[in-house]
Amino acid sequence: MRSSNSRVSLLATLLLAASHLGLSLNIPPVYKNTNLLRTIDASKAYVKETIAVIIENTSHQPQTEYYLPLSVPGSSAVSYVECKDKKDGTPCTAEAVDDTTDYPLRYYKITLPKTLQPAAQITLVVTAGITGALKPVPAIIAQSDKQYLSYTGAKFVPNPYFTEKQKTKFRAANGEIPDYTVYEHTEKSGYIVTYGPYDNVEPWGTDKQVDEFTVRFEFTNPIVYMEKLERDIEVSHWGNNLAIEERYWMTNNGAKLKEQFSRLSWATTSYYNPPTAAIKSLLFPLRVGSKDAYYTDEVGNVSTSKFRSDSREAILDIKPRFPIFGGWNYSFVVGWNNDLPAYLRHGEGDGYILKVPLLQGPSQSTSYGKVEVRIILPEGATNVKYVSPIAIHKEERFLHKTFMDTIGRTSIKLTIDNVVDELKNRDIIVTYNYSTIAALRKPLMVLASVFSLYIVTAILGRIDLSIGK
Amino acid sequence: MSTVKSVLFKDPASTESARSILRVLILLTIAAAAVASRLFSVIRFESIIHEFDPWFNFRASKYLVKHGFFDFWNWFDDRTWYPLGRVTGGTLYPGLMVTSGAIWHALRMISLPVDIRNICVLLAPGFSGLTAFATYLFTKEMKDSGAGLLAAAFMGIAPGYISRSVAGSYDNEAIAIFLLMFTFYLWIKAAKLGSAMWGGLCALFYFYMVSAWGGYVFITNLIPLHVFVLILMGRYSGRIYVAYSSWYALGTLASMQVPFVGFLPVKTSEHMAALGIFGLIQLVAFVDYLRGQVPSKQFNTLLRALVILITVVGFTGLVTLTVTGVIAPWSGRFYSLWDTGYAKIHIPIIASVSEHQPTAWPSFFFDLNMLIWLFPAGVYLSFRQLRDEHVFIIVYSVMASYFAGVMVRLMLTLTPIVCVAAAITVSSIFDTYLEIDSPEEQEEDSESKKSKKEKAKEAGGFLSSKAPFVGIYSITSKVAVVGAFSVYLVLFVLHCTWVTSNAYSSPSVVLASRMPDGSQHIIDDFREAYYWLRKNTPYDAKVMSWWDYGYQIGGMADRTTLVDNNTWNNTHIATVGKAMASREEVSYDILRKHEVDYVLVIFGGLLGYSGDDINKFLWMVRIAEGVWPQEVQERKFFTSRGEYKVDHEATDTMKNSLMYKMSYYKFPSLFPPGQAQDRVRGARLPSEGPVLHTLDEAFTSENWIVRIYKVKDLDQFGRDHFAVSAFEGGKKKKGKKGGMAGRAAGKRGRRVVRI
Repeated sequence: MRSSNSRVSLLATLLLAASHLGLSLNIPPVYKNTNLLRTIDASKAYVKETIAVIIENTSHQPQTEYYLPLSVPGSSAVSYVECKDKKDGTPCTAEAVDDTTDYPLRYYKITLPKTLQPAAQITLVVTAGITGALKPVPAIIAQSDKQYLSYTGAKFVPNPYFTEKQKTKFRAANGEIPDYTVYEHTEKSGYIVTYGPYDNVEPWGTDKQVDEFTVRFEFTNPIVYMEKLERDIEVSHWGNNLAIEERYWMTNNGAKLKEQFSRLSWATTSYYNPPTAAIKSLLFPLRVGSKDAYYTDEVGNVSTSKFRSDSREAILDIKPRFPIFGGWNYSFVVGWNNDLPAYLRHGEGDGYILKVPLLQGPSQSTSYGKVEVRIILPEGATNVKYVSPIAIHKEERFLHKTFMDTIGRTSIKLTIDNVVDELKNRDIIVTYNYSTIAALRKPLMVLASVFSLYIVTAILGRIDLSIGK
Repeated sequence: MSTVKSVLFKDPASTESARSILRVLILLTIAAAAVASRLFSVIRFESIIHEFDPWFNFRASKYLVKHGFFDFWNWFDDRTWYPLGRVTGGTLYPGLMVTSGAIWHALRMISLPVDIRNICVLLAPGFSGLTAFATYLFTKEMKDSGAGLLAAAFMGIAPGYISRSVAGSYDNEAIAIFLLMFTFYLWIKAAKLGSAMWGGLCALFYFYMVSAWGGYVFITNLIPLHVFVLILMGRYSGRIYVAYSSWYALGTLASMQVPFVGFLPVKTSEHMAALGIFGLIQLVAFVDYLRGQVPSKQFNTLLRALVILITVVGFTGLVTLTVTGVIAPWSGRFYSLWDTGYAKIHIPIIASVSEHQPTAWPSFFFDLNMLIWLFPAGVYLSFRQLRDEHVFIIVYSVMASYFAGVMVRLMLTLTPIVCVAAAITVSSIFDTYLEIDSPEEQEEDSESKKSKKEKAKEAGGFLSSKAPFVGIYSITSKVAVVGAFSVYLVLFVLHCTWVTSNAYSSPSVVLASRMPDGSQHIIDDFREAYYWLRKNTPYDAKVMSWWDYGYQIGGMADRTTLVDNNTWNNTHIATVGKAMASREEVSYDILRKHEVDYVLVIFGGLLGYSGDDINKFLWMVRIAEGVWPQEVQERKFFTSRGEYKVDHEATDTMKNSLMYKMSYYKFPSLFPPGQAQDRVRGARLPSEGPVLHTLDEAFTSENWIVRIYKVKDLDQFGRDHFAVSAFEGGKKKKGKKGGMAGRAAGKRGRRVVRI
């Protein structure tokens, strides 16, 4: 599969990285991993890596910090890292170590949920979403061909501590796995390829040999990638409405078309509804009670959408104007309304608490290059604070001026880079103050302008422009 | 009943304020009805720009809003007419875009940021409300406010006007008809009052009209004609002089500020009548002044002789100047107004447009319903009174009737005057028959006569035109006539609604059909393909298509086009026609030379969509033949029996033309062998489809209406594409014989690449 050339270069990079690491990041060897299980889940369009590890404090001091690297080869990047104690589910914080030289490893400093006494053990579960790690191989396929993805990773789990026993499980999307690297203790059963268990693995970087494994598997779904998502959440106290609009710039990151699109073969095969790497439709599960859904794009309304909303569910099913094959682009807008009371609580005094999903999106597995969420509060709202379920990369506060506004609506824009849909449907909590005077501003302004218009008309009507009688 | 009557009819002075409020309410209702009846397409489909030309206007409006007025004024568009480009800012009528741009800015100023698309879509319905108001004012000057209200109602819902002003029909006519009627109203007002202010206002709106629509020439000729007729009737007066001079001087200078018009008002034949009458009226005024000084009984005769002499001399001078070339002769479109066969022979591009065809007579009834038979009666009533403004109605009627008969499009200019004349008729009938009391001798003397006087005063008319009062005595005839006319009016409304709903409310970008269960199914192939172009081709890709689709590609796909609906360069269009009509070898050369990346054709064979390119193909051939008579010949596209065929009887020229190949490429494979059917032309196609060598199919829309082809790059080894196809085809054949097809081909291919 891979030429020996690229393996050598990867090895060199890893060694280089390791030597740099020694300079910039000094990790004391205070732990021992008693047992480590890595699960790489590639059933979605991105990789979800779960590391369950039992660690033991081998030093004589109590410890609170544990370092864990994640491998991000090539153009891949870590979207999120979450960590918890396996026993009682206590979350712990995972913080990226600010070190740019450690490519292709990205180190995370995990603050343990509780201080670990000497010789004590704790089981951590670290979950990470990694985008861009799956590559279509072959990169170009014919319209009706099957799509295959390939994943390459290190045979031994990168870890700065001595590991007594470790195992890697790779879960493919499909049982159809034509190629995978075979080492000792390699096993394939069904969807899963297992590497290990391996005993007594030295800390990462001390071993001269870095072995990689590659798995190539069939992937019957398209790789939905949103280059950009702009999501507006607009609160209207007067309209008692929560309006959500999402603007997507979508690409299919799957294997590209070998030749041009043939409608003839698309039409003739579509009767059998074969699995295809093209995006044919997207399903948006919305919150119960969503209404007035719409689906448009730059040239107007798209009539091929279905919206169903009842007391149990609300589903917006959209079909793009054309099937989106690998490398093709499409951009569109969806939006809907919700009744505000389900999302807004009145707090103390003139305080309000808003609780809305920060990110929704299609049910197909999706990754996002950049997400911009704008929360537009009523005109005159002050003292805006928020608690986000996801790390925010950039925050902007501004006034959004639109229909019948005099000063503009208080808004915040939250930018998050590289998101996977694992993080959707988590609620952001926004608190703000909104006084009655601010609420009355709009009707009073409208009243005043209509009245002044009337006065002006009355005065103009009384002016006599005639030259002499 | 009698109290109501006494309140409403007996004493108009005391109820004037109630009446004016009622009038305002009625006018508002009419405006609302006018707007509402144009919203069928928005409700049925969506807020979308219709047809072809509006897409350009929409694109220009977006440009104006985005880049500002001065950039718009100097706009050189390099994304159309590739590689020539178009000086768009100087070759369009900016009135429409500036209007919507101004509305956009005004709404923004009062913090109502409405999307420019919605302003464009709703501009025409909005202005139709104003048109109804202008018609009211105009008709009020002719008869009274009752007739005015009727005229406004007719104008609001007459299909002849709705056809060009439904929501989404964002074309110049959207605002031009309002401007036409308002300019005419101001002209009548100016001529009646002899006021330079009204004349100046008239000039101002004339300028607006000039900036909005090429049809301003209608005003430019109609007002002078009115004046000329008045002079011939011996009705010259100071009022006419002031009104005409102020209008002409100011209006012409103002109109020359529009870059697209420039010096045309003093250089072309279309504008010479106005200039001539301007000269004439100066002479007449001079002569009139002389007559004041030297009273004589023979003066009138002398005057007329002089007028006729000068007209003859002026006309001869005009003809001489035209022949010697100082004044540009009539443009082709105007020639075709006099000689309906002219365009077909000399300028096929004008004849190819369906709206430039002569009108079929049922369309008069279709577009105007009962108004068309009330129209002559209204003109007759004008003859009976024949004040100066009634002469205008007569002149307008004659001219507009002729033009409407010559060109379907000009039905639009006929509609307002038909509404006015019909309103005068209906109003007269109601005036006569809706008098509740039977006339009595005494009453006639006192009250009703007084009310007549009051009415005449109110309308600002002349007492001299007062006719002796004639009444209807029999209650039966009153009920019969009024009842009949009420029924007619109701039928008229029903007809208008039906026509608007069925004939004029389709966006033509989106097609609607019915599913077997009766639900609406929308066929959206155009936008599907345009959006594909927009999203999945490079921004600077050049798309070749027939000129009909140029504006839509520019507007929806945002890609560079070779030709579009602004048919300013006939040769360039003929080049595209030639590329479509020629064999691939010839076409490929043209495509390469014009750096064409994609070719787009419209094909309705699968769905039975009859407005497709194969049906338009003969016009492409004709237009190409006009420029290259040796290379493209229409005759060769017909069978020996003179039939236009696409099936196995089609001529070789037809079958080898690029258009035929692109339309039917792979189409027969969609059917079982031998069953391929073209549903537009009802032809059974040969089971072997055409083969393309120089183009690749890039995209075909769901119902095959839009087919996009990618022009192949030059072959890497310098072979021509026919050799490549022959080589590949040959290899395949060999492979079949040898049995190791795939591998052999693969190996050979790879080896070649390394060299």
